[in-house]
Amino acid sequence: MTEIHQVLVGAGRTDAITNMARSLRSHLRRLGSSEIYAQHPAPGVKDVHLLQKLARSTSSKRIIIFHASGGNQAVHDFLQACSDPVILIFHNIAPADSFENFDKSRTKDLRQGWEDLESLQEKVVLTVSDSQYNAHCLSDLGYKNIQVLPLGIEINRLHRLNSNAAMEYRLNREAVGPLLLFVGQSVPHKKIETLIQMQYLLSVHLGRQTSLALVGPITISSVQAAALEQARRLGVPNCLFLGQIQDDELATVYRRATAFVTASVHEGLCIPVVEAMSFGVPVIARETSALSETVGEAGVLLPENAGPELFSEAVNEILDNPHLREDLIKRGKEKTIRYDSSVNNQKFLDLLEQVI
Amino acid sequence: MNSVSQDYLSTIKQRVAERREAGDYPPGLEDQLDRHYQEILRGFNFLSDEDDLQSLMRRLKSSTIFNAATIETWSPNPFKRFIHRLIAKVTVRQTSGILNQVQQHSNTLNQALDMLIEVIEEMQHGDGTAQTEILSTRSDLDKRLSAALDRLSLIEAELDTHRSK
Repeated sequence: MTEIHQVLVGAGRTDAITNMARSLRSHLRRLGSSEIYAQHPAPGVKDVHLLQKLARSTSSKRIIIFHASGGNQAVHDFLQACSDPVILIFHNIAPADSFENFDKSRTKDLRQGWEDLESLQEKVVLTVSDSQYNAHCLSDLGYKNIQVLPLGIEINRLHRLNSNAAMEYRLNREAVGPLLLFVGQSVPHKKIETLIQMQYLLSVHLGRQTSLALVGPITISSVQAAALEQARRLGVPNCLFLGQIQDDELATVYRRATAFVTASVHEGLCIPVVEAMSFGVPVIARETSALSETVGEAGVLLPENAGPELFSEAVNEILDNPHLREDLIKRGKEKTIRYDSSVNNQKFLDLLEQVI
Repeated sequence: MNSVSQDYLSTIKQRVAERREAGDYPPGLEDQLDRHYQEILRGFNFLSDEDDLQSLMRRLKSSTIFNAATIETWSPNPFKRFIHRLIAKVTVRQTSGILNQVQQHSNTLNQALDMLIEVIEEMQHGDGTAQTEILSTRSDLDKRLSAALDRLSLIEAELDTHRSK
């Protein structure tokens, strides 16, 4: 019996890449035994095993699927030492330079991630990337025959959940007017500060009553602390720092959101954008990295160097132009179909069978 | 960029230009906001994430993979090198036994620390409230400093405007 195991650097309860691996695991189990292993599973994650428990060699036929999203010496050593064929699923790696002033060890890991990818090439029998942008990045490293296939995105996962009453109550009490939403980690390249500046311009300079909800794990605590301090010093009203929330709370926020806004300058795919579109929430983003293709014609794409003035005006346009709003909602919902995991996961299984 | 986005973008850019002309967005506003944020960041750089619990745990886990292969047997002296390698081979069973015990202990310790961190993070980071409280209780001196820095940013912006005229 074939064993097909997935290897990740880190794993979390609501982390996007772990969720992708979970979705893929249920499909892989049709072909053989399949588990997820991670070097750093977050506390409380019960369905992911420690990588140390995965033997480096085995007598049975085994395939390792590696989800590349960062660097880690232990994972790299494991992949180099194991004798099994490796399938690479590339989610891209965050720009190391942006972390330089915040977290030295993370900066080092991210740089190592690119170097590891380069040296892994000889072992890789199938290369999959979840966007054209990621495929270009791999191609620059010398990878060939890259399959672009966004895997394991369960569009309906959040739609199936009932709204969370406590979150509904909180939003009704604290969110005034249209709710602008951002979902993502508090890391430097997400440029949360631009969103706070946008909310400042909307409320203070233009007198518009909107609320800004920031959702996501506090990955770099000083980024989050600086954002809180910025909002306090500027006196920005209606800024909701919701932190990491449960899936039913996230579904509640998407249902209440009027627009999804991201000022991120680097994304390998950006699942929150896909989720927002699936909930009929128009998206405003910068035209950069994979965002250009993930958002495409289904959202408002601002120039890569767009500042808070352009963001504020894009919000105004979406709020005041019902025709534009309806158009973006329709296009967004159509666009999410291409990310349907049941179709893409099956395509991946077909590719996998050729390798086996 | 597709033509639909291009049309919307032209409208948005036009509106920004009109707002600038009407004075809703004063000259140099974005630069001033950026300077303001950079000033805040400078104050926060001392909060190095190098030493936060998660980073320390990552470093701890990276260093708790025990493997006999990483025990040095090399020596510049060929005879000593031979002896070291011979001892390594002869005691491989005992070495592996000890390493396995240490590994098991380390895994349990890591799990216990993970659980502790989870409890601490739930208390501290649940909704950012704890951080808000920390920030709101910062000293009065710090608040005065913030106000002074804000004022300085405004003066700098005014100076820039005068210089550009």
